[in-house]
Amino acid sequence: MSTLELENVSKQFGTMAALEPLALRIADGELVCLLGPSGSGKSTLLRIIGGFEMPTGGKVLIDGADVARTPPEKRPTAMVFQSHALWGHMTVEGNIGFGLKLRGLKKPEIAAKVDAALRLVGLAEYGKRHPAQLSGGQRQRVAIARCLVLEPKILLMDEPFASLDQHLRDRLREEVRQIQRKLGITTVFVTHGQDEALSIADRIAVMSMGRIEQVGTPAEIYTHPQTPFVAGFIGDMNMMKTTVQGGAALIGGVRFDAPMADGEALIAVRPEDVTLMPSRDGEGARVRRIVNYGAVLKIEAEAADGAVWKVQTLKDVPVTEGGFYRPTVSRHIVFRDDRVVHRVDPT
Amino acid sequence: MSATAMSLRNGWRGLAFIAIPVMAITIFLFYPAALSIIGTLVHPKDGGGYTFSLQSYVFFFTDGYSLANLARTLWTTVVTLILLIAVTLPIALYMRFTKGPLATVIQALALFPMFVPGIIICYALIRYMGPNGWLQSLLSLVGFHHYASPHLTPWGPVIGLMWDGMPLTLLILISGLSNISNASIEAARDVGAGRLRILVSIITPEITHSLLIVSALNFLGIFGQALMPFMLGPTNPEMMGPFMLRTFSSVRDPLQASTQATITFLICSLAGVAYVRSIARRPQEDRK
Repeated sequence: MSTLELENVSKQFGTMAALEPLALRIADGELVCLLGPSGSGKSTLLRIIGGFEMPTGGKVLIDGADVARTPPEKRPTAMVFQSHALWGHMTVEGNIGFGLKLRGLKKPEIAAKVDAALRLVGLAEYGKRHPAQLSGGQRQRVAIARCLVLEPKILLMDEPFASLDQHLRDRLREEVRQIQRKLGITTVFVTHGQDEALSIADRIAVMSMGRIEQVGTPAEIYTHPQTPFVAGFIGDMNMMKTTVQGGAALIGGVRFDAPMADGEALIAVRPEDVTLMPSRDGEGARVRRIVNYGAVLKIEAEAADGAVWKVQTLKDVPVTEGGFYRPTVSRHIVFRDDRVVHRVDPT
Repeated sequence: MSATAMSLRNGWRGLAFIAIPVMAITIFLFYPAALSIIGTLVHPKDGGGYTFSLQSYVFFFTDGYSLANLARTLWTTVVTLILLIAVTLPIALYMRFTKGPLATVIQALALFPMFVPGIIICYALIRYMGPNGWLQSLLSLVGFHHYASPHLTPWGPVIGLMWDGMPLTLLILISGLSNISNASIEAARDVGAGRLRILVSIITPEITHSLLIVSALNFLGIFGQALMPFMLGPTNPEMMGPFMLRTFSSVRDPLQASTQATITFLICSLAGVAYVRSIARRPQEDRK
């Protein structure tokens, strides 16, 4: 049963601040995704938790004990690397049992634990093979087993499925989620894939430019983004600059409530929150492109003032390219100075 | 044109492409080598004809001086090889896992001997470590007056051969080490391995192939060396290189020189076989 707390953790590489002082608390048994674009600092933060980078400042508390200056070999953490990082000269059993051997366990005990770990990841028959004889997915399972067999307090996963194809990635993601829940192990999972984060995480910490922009459940992050970056990074979003006058803003023929002082603002609308109603030619927005994704249609429509609407609708809604439609918006967020100042949410 | 005909035509082109080097090797290397080896076993009889005899080999293996020379050659080869790996492996490790200007300077210094001809190295070492050389003068300056020069001792060729072999050894070891990913080192640390354990259990097994190549190539280069032992080493016993040279040109005994060469060749071919096996096995391992 382990918790992880980061207190004012920062990292400086020369003159460049890779991480601004940040704080994060991960509860026992929780799976938290660090999500962000390349260079956002998520891998640096994970490496700091794992001990592969020393923070410039701050504390890394595991069950209340500060391990910020403890080397990785002495931390109660285990990391699954993106590149598997298996040792090619050892068999699968050798890879998994290496850490146990270092801990001075006796051979029968090592064999039993290795066997259990292999069963857990579904590779019971593969112990005698070498990593070169395994597929990419199998190698990553071995890497996961190598970590789990040590029974770490915190499991760290650095984009573990990035090198796998989509189908395998989806399957392994589910398997990892099941194993994590079964063992109840506190896990930090780094990814730049929002789908991955949304589907696997208990909570997501969205990172940008070395800062944590927002921490929340996938639903919170998706429906209540706190900053324009989170709003734009997670899922599709219509992000439109506008000028508020008299408590409202007008974009593409749609009036948005914005009870705030007059001035510049940014309005965010999810494509699925836009509905297109047929209108007369020349009125509303003209549909310039429809992409059929099977269950849904993704539509681009351009209003007379140049505003472009991204719309997502069910496939049986009758919309035609070149047709004119009047957009209506059920939900929107108004940002000013990178903060939410107004939100219209019918739910 | 059918696929079979095209394949045949490409096959002939391939053979034509390698025909000239293969012929050159056969004519200028294998043929004279075979003649020499056969010449040590088959001798012309008085009055015509040939007779098979192992007399020259019997002489070599019963002659104390020849055996001492062979033992000295083996000793020099093994000691040089061990020291060479012991010296270059830490440098290679440092250069692989350290970035920065110091690593670049060390790399330049370590590779420098590659661009210096062997004879220049010999004279430079004699001037430096020989009797009344710079090293002795420098040590005298700091009050050390008991310097014993390794020049013309068994350690003379060892030092020269180490100098000579260091760049290639270093390049091969760095190449081997570059195949070890940082992640696999970090993964070892992550499961609890310290530096020594990582070196012994992760790095060394991963560069076995490179170590084998380094050992085989240096064995071949050192065992047959003539220049360094001739310039820097003792004359009794001496290494096989100068021994063969002297037997051939001063003693004027081509049969015994050929016998010495054949024995040298057979011992070196063991290292050659190890090298070829290592090269041949690697791609199979990679395909697994």
